Amino acid sequence: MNNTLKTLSLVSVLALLSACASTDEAVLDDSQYGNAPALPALPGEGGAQVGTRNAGAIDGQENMPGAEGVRNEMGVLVDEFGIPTDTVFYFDYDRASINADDLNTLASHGQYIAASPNARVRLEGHTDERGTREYNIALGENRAKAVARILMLQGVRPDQIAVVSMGEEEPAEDGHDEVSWSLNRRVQIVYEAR
Amino acid sequence: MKSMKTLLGAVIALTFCFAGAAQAVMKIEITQAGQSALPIAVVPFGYDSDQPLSEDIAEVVAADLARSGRFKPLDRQDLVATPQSGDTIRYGNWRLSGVDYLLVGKVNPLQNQGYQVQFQLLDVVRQEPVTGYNLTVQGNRLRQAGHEIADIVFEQILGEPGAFNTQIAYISTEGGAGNRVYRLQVADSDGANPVPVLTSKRPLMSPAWAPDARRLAYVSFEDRNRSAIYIQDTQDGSRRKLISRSGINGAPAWSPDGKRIAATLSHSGDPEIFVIDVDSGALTQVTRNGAIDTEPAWVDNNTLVFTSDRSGSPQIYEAAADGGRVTRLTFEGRYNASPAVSSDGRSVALVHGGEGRYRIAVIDRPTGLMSIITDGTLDESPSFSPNGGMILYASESGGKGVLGAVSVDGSVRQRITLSEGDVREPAWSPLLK
Repeated sequence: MNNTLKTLSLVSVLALLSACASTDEAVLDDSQYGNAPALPALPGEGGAQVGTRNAGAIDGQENMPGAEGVRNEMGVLVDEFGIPTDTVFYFDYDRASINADDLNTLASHGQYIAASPNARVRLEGHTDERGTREYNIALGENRAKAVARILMLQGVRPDQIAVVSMGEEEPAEDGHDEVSWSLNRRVQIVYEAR
Repeated sequence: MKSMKTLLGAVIALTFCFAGAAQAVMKIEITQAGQSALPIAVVPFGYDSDQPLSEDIAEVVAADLARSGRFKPLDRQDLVATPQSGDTIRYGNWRLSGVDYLLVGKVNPLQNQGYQVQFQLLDVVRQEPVTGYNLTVQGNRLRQAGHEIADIVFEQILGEPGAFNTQIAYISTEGGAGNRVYRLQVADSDGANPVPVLTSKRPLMSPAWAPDARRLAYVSFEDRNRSAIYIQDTQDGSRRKLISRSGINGAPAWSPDGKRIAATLSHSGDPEIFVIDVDSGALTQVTRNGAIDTEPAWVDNNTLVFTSDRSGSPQIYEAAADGGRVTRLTFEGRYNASPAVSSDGRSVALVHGGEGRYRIAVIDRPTGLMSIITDGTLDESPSFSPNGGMILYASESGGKGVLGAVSVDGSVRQRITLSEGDVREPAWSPLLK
C-alpha cells in the first residue's frame, strides 16, 4: 500500500488544482523560531529547523485558482498545494491510536511532505481536560507520535517533523462536556513551511 | 476522615480588590468546617486614628486559623466583649462563650509611617496569658503581620509550626481558544495579593518552588516547536532556560537540597524521569521503561515518587534518584497520578480517578493506606503546605478552574475563586526565610 500511495501522491501533486484555503493551514507565526537551541536532531524526533513560508514550492506545480473542493486520487480534499485541507485528527478517550477514517488523509499529508524537501510540520498533540496535566502531556505526545509514524511511513524525514505535546493546555473548545472533550482530543498538523 | 456535611455558606467571605495589572476579586469560602477544631475568640484589634486602616488584622488571623481546620474562631457577633489588651479580661465570660483561647490586640500608627501591632494570646481555661508580642509593621505589610500572628498562635497552642506567612504560585488563564492568556502568579497563602510574575500567550504550566522559597521552575511553550523548563527568580524577575530538548520537557520538581531538578524528558524516545543538575545541566536518567513515566516528586534527597503506566494504568511508584530499584506504591483503583510529598516524607497526596471523577487522596507511606479527602469531579495538582497540615489543589466550580484547600484529614475544605479566568496548578512555597 505504501508504494501505491506514494505513486498516487506524485501524480496528485502534479495534477493539482486549487482548492479553498483551509483556516487551519500553515499559519506561520512571526516569532520565536530563532530561539531553538542548537541541539542535534535525534532519531524519531524533529529538530527545530524551520524553513520560510514559500520555500516548499514544488517543481511543476501549477496554481490554478477557481476550482473548489479538489480531491486527490485517494479522494482526500486538498488545497492548491496538494496539502489535505483536513489538518486536525481526533482520538478516542485515553487512546493514541489513529482512526481508520483518517489514514488516507494522513498518508496524503505524508506524501506531500516527503515530496517537498523543504516542507516542515509541527505535530501538536492535545488531550481533553480529564486526568492530570503532565500525564496528559505524555498522552498528547503519544498521539502526535502516532501521526508522525504514519508520515514517516510515507518517507517523511524525521527532521521535517517537530512533535510537541500541549496536553490539555490549549483546548479547542472550552466546554466541560463530552462533545467538547471529543473535539479537544486531537493532533493538529501545522505547516511551518511548504 | 472526620468529614461531615456541614456546609457553611461563606462563613468567611473575604472580598477585596488589589491595585495591579489585572483587577481581580478574590473570594474564599469555607465549604466544610472541622468538628474537632479548637474554639478561639479573635477580637477585632483596637485602632485609634482618623486614617482608615487598610486591613482588618484580626480577620486575617481568624481566617487563617479557620482555614487550617485546627481552630474554630468564634463568630464576631458572638463576642461577649471587645477587649484590646490582656489586662481587662473577664475570663469567666469567655468560658461561658465556650472558647479555650482568646486573642486580643491593638494597632498604633507610628510617627514615621507604619504601625506598631501589639497582641496577646490568652488561655481562657487556665486564665492566664500565653504569649504577647509587639510587631513593627510597614503600612503595606499589615496582612503579612496577620499571617505572622496566626503562625505564632498556631505554634504556641499546637506545638508545630504554622504555614500562613508563605506564598503560593499558580497558573491562571483568561480568554478562550485563540486569545487565551496564561499567567504565572504568586500570591499570599490565602490567595490575597496576587502578582503575575510572567504573562504569555502560550501555555505555562507546572510551577515548582525551589527550597529557597524565592525561585520557581516551570514549563513554558513560548517556543512553539518545543517546550522548555525555565527557572525564574520571583523577586527580581530574572530567568533562564534550564532545558529544552526535543519532545517533552515537563514536570519539574526541585530536590530538597536545591541542587537538582527532577523532570520528565522524552528526547530518548518516550517519557522518562531524569534528574538535572541545576548548575551544570548534567542529566541522570532515573527510569528506563517503554511506558509513560512522569510527574516526579522528591521524598528526600535520594528518593523520588512518580507516575507510571507501566502496569497498564497510571500508578504511583517510588525509585532511588540515581536510578535503581522501583517499587509500586498504589494498588487501589485504575488511576493514581500526580504525587506530592509532605516535607516529612510520610504522606503522599495524589489524584485518584474512579467513578468518572478525579479526587485528591492521601497515602500514608509507611502503611500504604489511602484515604480520599476531596469531593470534586476534577480535583488535581495537590501541593502540601510546608508544615504538612494542609493540601492546596486545583478544582472546578461552575465550569471555572478554582483553587481548593483541604486539611490533610479531609475535615476542612475551602474554595478560593478569582472573579476572572481559570486558576490551576497551585504550588505552596516552603517556609519563607
